[in-house]
Amino acid sequence: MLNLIQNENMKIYRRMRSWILVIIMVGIVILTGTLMKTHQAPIPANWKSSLTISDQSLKNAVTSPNMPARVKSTLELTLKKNEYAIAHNIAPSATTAWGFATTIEQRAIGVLISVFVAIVAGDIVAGEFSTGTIKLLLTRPQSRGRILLSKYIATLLFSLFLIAVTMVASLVVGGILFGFGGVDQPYLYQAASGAIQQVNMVAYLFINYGYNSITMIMIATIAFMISTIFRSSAVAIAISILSLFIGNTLVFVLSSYSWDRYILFANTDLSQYQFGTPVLSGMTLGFSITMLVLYFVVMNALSWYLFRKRDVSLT
Amino acid sequence: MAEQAAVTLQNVTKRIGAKTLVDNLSFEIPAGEVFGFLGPNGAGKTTTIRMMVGLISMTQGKVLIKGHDVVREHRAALSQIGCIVENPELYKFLTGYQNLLHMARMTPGTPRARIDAVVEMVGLQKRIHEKVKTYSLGMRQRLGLAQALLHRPSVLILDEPTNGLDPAGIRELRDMLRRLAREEGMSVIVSSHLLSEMELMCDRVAVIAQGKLIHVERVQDLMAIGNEAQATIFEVADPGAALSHLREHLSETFEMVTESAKAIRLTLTRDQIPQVIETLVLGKIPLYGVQTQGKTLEDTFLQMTGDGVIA
Repeated sequence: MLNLIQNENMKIYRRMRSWILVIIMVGIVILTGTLMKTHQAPIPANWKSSLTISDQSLKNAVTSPNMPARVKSTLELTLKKNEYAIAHNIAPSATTAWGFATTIEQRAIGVLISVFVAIVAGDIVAGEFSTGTIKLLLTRPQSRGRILLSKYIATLLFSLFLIAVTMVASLVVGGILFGFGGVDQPYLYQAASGAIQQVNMVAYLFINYGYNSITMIMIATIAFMISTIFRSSAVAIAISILSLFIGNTLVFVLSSYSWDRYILFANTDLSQYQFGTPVLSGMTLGFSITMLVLYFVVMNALSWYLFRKRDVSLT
Repeated sequence: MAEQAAVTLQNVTKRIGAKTLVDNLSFEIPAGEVFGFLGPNGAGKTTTIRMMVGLISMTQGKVLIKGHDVVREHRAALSQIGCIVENPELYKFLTGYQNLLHMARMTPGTPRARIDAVVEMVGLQKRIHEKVKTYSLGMRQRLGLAQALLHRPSVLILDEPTNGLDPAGIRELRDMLRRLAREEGMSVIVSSHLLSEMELMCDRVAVIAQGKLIHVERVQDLMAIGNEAQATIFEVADPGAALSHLREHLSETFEMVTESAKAIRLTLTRDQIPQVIETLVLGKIPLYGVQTQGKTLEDTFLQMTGDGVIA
């Protein structure tokens, strides 16, 4: 089994494509860092009074009758966070490496990692079919199940590698540009109860990456399954990236239906239970975990069954 | 049979929907034999080979490799097989050596030294550390053969192995296959529609057409069948006169094939030739020469497979 995983790894990392993905990733981190550095707003010395002033205008905006409900709730959240900051004497601090890494993960790279993982996962099975090398793999004394498993594990290892590269790159770039200070900085969020709470920024960074990898594993599994079923890299990559982008919108659009909660994408982001309110009311962490496990098992079982069963066609 | 056959096919059948691609194929191949698998395109050669190496399922029947069922004892059977199915598809973005390393890792118990040995065997030492995408088709064939031989299989299955090889390469391959069969007791199964090669390469040939086994015979015997009736050319000054004389005086009927300005061509069995000569000489018809054209394996083959019509 180790030999097979070693083979799959060789085929991923001996390939230019994988390294181009890594270079793009690091490039984006550097670019974002430079932009943030040059557009950084200075922090006023008397931050409490300036916060109070901006709070006043926020309150006016919230009470305005023609303010849309969604904007209103966002403003109210900012207001609450400001009030919490003043009450707990938490000064808005300059960006640090930790804050930068968190921003990177949340704003851009989080999704991009999933896209890149989808590219590798979508190609790892279908690619062997389109080049005909699948015949080399399947005419050796190894069971098809083991070959598929080794490919799946190699895909997950590649995702881990991408995550590690991104995290290290954003911390290094952030550290160089903004310094490593502020390890004790808090991150403020509104819990499901409506109250503002705080969590350490460094802890938040790691927790966020953790939640994101769940989404990533599911995307990888979708790409992998489609790759196995359709034997076409293009179809697998396209469908999985598409579902990554429209999944959440779909859940939002269909929210009036009671079965909406059974859609995979209503459940992939588990951070909604810790750092916010669930997208659909009435959903619980237990429900989402059950759904994720169910989807995971069904998709992998389908790939496994088809890969073992099907003829390697007469092309 | 006292000795176990290296490869046994029993009633192997492949049906997809209503179409029967391979129909009830049965034969045995002993160790150390070079076995040719002959048939026109679409006859079911590749389908049969794919079933033998477990790439596709069988509708019926079974394949035994050294007594191991390819389906039920997949690993035991496959560890005895080295194969190239259709083109030697390899990982183009890897070097030749990395390709072999990849294959060696898939078969437990293949030492690294064996990689160097097979590289030398196929004569790729100079280019083995270059990427496969820079290889010519002939070099890819060699690398394909190297990966097939890597784990010392007892059965070597090659689908159209001479594709893309130059004449020297074909000759080299032929010599190597014969040597492997003779010295290492390997059974070699070669499929081809190039008959002239099969004549030189194989001990025995199975002819299949439209999924059915038509004939299994030793190559020499197969060619002997063709010698039963052969085209015989008689060089004469006046073909018209010669023919009419033969029609008058020869008791047996014969088939006239062609008539040219200086010769007549008849299809005759070996026994009929002296009679015709005698008749011509007695009729004082000047005979300048007699030439027989033995049927090639190709003629026999085309005759057996219905002139290569794809059903």
